[in-house]
Amino acid sequence: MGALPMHVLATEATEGGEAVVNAVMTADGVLSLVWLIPLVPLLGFGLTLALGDRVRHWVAIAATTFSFVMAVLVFFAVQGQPDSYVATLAPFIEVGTFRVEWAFLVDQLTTVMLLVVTGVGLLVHIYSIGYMEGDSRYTRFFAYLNLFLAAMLVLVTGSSLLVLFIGWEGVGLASFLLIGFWFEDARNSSAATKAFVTNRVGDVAFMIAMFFAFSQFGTLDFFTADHTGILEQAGVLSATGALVLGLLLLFGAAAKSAQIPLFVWLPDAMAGPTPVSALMHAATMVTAGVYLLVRTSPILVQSLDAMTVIAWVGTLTALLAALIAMRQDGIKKILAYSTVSQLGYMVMGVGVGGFSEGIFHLVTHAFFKGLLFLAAGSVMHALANTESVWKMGGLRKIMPITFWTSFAAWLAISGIPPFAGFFSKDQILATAYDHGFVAIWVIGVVTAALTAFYMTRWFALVFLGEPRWREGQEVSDPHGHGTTELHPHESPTTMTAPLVVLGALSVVGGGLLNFTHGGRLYTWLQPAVASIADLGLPEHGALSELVLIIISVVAAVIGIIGGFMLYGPQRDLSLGSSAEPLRGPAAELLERKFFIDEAYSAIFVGAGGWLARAAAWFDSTVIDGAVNGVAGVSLWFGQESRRAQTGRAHTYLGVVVGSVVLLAVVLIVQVR
Amino acid sequence: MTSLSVLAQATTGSTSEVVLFVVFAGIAIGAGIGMVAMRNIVHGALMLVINLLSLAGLYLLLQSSFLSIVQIIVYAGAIMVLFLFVIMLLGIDRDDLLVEVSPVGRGLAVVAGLGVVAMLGWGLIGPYTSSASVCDPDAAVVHTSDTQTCAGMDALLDQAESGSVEIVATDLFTRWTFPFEASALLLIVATLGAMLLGRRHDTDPDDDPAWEPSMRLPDTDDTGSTGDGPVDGDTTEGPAEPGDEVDEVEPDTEAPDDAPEMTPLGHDDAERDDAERDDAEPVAVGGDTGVGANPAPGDAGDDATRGRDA
Amino acid sequence: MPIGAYYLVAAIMFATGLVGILVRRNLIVLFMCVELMLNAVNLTLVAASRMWGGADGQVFVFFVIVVAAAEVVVGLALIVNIFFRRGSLDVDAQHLLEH
Repeated sequence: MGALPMHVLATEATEGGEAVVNAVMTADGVLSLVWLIPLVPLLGFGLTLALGDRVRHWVAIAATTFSFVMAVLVFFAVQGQPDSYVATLAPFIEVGTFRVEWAFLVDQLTTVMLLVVTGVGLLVHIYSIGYMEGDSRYTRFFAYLNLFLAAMLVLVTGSSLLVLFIGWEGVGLASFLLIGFWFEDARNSSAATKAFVTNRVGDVAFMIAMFFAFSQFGTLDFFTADHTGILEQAGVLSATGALVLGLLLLFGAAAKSAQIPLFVWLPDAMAGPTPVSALMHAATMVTAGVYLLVRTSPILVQSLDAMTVIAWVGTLTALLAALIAMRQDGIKKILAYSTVSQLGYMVMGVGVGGFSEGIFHLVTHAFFKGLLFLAAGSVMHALANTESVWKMGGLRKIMPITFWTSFAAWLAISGIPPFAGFFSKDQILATAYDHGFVAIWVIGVVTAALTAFYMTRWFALVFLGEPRWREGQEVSDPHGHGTTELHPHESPTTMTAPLVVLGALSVVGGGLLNFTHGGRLYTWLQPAVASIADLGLPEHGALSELVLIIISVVAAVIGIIGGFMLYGPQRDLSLGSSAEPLRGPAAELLERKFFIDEAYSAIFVGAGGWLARAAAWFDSTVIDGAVNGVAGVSLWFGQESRRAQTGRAHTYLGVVVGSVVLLAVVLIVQVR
Repeated sequence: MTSLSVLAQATTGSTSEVVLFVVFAGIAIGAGIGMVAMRNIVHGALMLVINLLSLAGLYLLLQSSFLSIVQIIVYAGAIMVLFLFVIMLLGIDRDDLLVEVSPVGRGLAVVAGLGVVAMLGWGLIGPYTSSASVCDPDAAVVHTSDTQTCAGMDALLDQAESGSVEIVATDLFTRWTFPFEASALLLIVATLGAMLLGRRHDTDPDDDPAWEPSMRLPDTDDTGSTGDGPVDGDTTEGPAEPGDEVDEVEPDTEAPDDAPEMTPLGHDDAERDDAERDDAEPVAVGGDTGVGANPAPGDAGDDATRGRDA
Repeated sequence: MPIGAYYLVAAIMFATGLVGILVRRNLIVLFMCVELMLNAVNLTLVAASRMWGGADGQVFVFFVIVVAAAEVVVGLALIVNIFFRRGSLDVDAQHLLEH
């Protein structure tokens, strides 16, 4: 590997994440090849598109497997070394003092993200073999998945804000392509457009953040050779500057991670194929915002106000989405709002100073939410793409693998120990309480109860009770392919194997990774995230850790019991959606998603339309009028001047005589 | 200066010169105004002739007798005659158009003219009309700085033996030879141009019943040894006329330019006439047509009837 | 006579010709007015020749007469053509110069 001109910079991280540049260290074999991890899926994308249907899914799966294996190797290479490595490939932009290079950063945080992205990505690729079977654009789907993977990997390994942003935009593009994969239905295309446009709004904030960062730091690199990386000299920011930068970064992350006010695209993104929902909108893409915030944590800790705002944004998002999820009827819609809510938890964790806790919840959420989406896809696959939970039920015996894995995921997301979600969610809430954000903690606990409630509702309506469908029933295909007969059965192995893997991780993953608050993952991530020691937050609250645990578990149990009371198998729900017990104006508000979409449409689309019409009027009337007016003036001038050409000799004679007389007068005056 | 002093100064010099000047100048100016104002064009032209003649008299007073004679001979005697020719030719002896110029236009034009006179007069009166400007070398004059003196032609005339003619000729043939030759060329060009412009294109003698040929050849026999030619050889007209039998046997024996061709007056395009004749007379008529264009066009009617009769 | 008197006469003649050009509509009369102006210039030249005591002015007049003769010849030929083409000699006729 000596042929490539590479510059590897090692920074020695001390406790608390303050990086001090050490001597330049030669690269370990694997770490210097970290740029292969995003590159191979990119090649997979190109090759799959180029070679077409001959390769089907094999190139894509091979590329993803390669990236996963490489990620594992990187993990082992990073083990036990508290350093951040930067591998530079080539210069990218050199304009005056502005330098950006194609450089990739590897540290503990990167490794976590790499494993999650490539691992879940590989599982979803395998799942898609079964799910997308028979689709007319089967090969292209895998090409797009690889493209997404490549972009996401660039995002998590980028060594500067700009390279990260390139990946950021790339996942936005892949999201657009994949959400609108079945573009024959205009609703899918508009959902894809909505996702892209909403993300664009966040991208503007991200770009302004980059401009601001460059103006403050003089560079966009996270680490540079002379300590001037933005994470190294975060202290140069003034209080206002840190607040501004933090809020800008939050707004950019809010678009990608579906926080208030830019979460509206995620529920509509369910129009895409289920593997896409599982991969992008549960496990990886939506977590990019959280990753960004954690990566730039040294900047965020410069402003307690910014972190407070972040925490409140996350909390309110979690609550709002949980409320809406209680009254949704689509199997994937419920999960979508659940994702928004859980992302709110992660952002909340970042905001209260629990960076590692936020990442921990990111990991466990990838497990159980990814599993839930894949299970939903399995159910939809069995029931001919039925989407409403009121047409499901009674699938326990028919789809046992799907059922038991969903059972594990349900308990995980509800926060029941010892499943994965319990550990991560509880640690976030504990961090919030310990650092003094009591109100946030209260809301978080309430939201946890709501989460348990609506997930129980989901689980019960989909799997339990009497089936609300009949064997052989004719249903119209939502994708407009006519009607099919219902013969539900368990999904093929390519689909159930990933379910099993994720189910196992949902069960044991939490305990393995971070059993206690300061567990393995926490300690391991410490060098990569900022220290909150300077923020002046309290270390512990009044209540002890155990009490907090008990409170959150109790809340979860209350939610589950409530869900069972209303939707359990003992109730007669054969009437379908009319049997919904939650009714009334409040429930209606929840079902209509608090009319947020309608409000956005009226305000932004309406205002934008008005603005566009005004601009068009201005252009056609004023500007075109001016241009045409100039032409008209010259035309008028020409026509008036034409009058001088009378064609009558006497006119010309008169002009000549007059001119001659005038000249003669001038001459004579001069002489005399 | 007052008009009286102007008059006083103006009358300095020999009495005869003054009297003659007043007479000639008055006639000239009067004739000029008359020419402009006359409605009848012929009268206007005659007024111009009077003007030119009085100008000749003025030239005499200015000691250039040669030019006065040239003026009479060329200008009044040739150019004005040409004018009168054209006026008579076009038959527009009465100009009714004078009345149609709007009074405003007329008024403005008069004002312009008066303005020109005033302007020139302002420049002339003073330096050029003082007593110092009198061309009499013997008279006692007072020279001031802003007056022009008049040298007079006496010195030059004393040197020349033949008088004014020699004065002009000396310069004309020595110093100004090139313009002289060029003006000769100019005159030739003008003559050619006038000849070209004066051609009559449009009237075809075939269409003009009044046209009489200037030359008429006697009728030859119908065998038409010279009768064939352009008429029969190249047209397909007249296939079955009995008079054509002989001609059709010998289609190309004679080219049209074998026969003596006489160009009628005003026609310089024999070929074109032949073509016209072909069109006009599909029937070969015999020797008359063969000898050339001369008799045929004029006898179109006769020949045609004769041909048909035959 | 002061030499300026001849100049003044010439000026009056010139102005008369000028007025005639502007007022009259018949082409031939126009032409004759131009001749009048030419003659006024001739008179000026001859008087100037006398004033300066040289032959240059008279030679100039000689050439003017020659050129005027040539000009009249060609001009009248043109007028004849115009008359035969248009049927009138009205210089203010519509589109006389536009065709």
